[in-house]
Amino acid sequence: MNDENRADCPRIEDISALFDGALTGRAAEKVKAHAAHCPLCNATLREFEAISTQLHTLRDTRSDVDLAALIGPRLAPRGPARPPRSRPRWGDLWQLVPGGLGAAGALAAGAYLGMLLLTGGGTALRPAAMTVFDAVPPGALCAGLPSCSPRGR
Amino acid sequence: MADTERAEAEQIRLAQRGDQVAYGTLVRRHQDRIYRHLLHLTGSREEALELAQEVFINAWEALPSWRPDAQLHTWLYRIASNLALDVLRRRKVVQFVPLEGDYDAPADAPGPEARLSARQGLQALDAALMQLPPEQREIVLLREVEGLSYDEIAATLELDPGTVKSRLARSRAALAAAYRRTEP
Repeated sequence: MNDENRADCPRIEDISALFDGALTGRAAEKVKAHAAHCPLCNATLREFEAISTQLHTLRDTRSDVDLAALIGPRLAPRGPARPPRSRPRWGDLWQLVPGGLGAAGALAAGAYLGMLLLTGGGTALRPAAMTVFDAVPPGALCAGLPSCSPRGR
Repeated sequence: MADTERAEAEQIRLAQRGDQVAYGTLVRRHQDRIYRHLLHLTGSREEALELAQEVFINAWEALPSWRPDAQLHTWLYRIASNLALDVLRRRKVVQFVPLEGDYDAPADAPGPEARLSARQGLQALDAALMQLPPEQREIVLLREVEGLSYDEIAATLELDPGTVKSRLARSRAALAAAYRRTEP
């Protein structure tokens, strides 16, 4: 057989394609001419043909069962197709008013609080470290006896 | 487009929208070829019947997203091949199950001896088929039994046509060699 690497024989792919009628033109003529005088390739072609003829008899195989009836109960029903989402109508835009008002109120409140912080309008807390230089040190009720006495004694 | 193709396209469209009656018609049209392919791939009637049901259930579930770029039967063969190869890989060792005893040779065979010889020949061929690796067996079956063209085989197995040509040739050569060893 030609798959035994005889140098002058065509490839097995070409013999198979010739058998299927998938090799055309000069390539087909070349393989045909070779097979006509090469006993090995000729035998391969005849073998392919014999096998093919026998395999064709398997085409008559039938299932003898109604598969549609068998699988019918196992088919999941499909729900109705979902309608496409329609574009909003202008008349329906009033529905957006409550949400919009809420959002605007939240933004305004945020802006107002920010302004208060920037302009110092709020009660500013003095950092604790700065109180070291005060007359009364932090945490102490009196810096010393004189400062506790109204007369400085 | 032929009438049958037009009718099938309409049934596919209806089945995609959930029409089980239309899908039943499609199943009845394709069930024999899918069952036959699975039977010769697996070598078991029970397994083929089970897998054929799975093929059509899977196809029903995937049908809404299926686009008719290829033909329905090549898509069904692809589902069948994938399922069968999974089973064969799980099974690891492919057991030879002889062709059914009720096989009858073609009626035009000349006499009882010739009929017996044809039957024995087919049994030997079936045994030889089962000796091939599943990938080789399926391509031979798709070409010789199902009669698919190279392009249809390429679409079914998701191969390029060049690979189909070479794999088919090597599978045929392997089958011929196995047949010579098992011939009665």
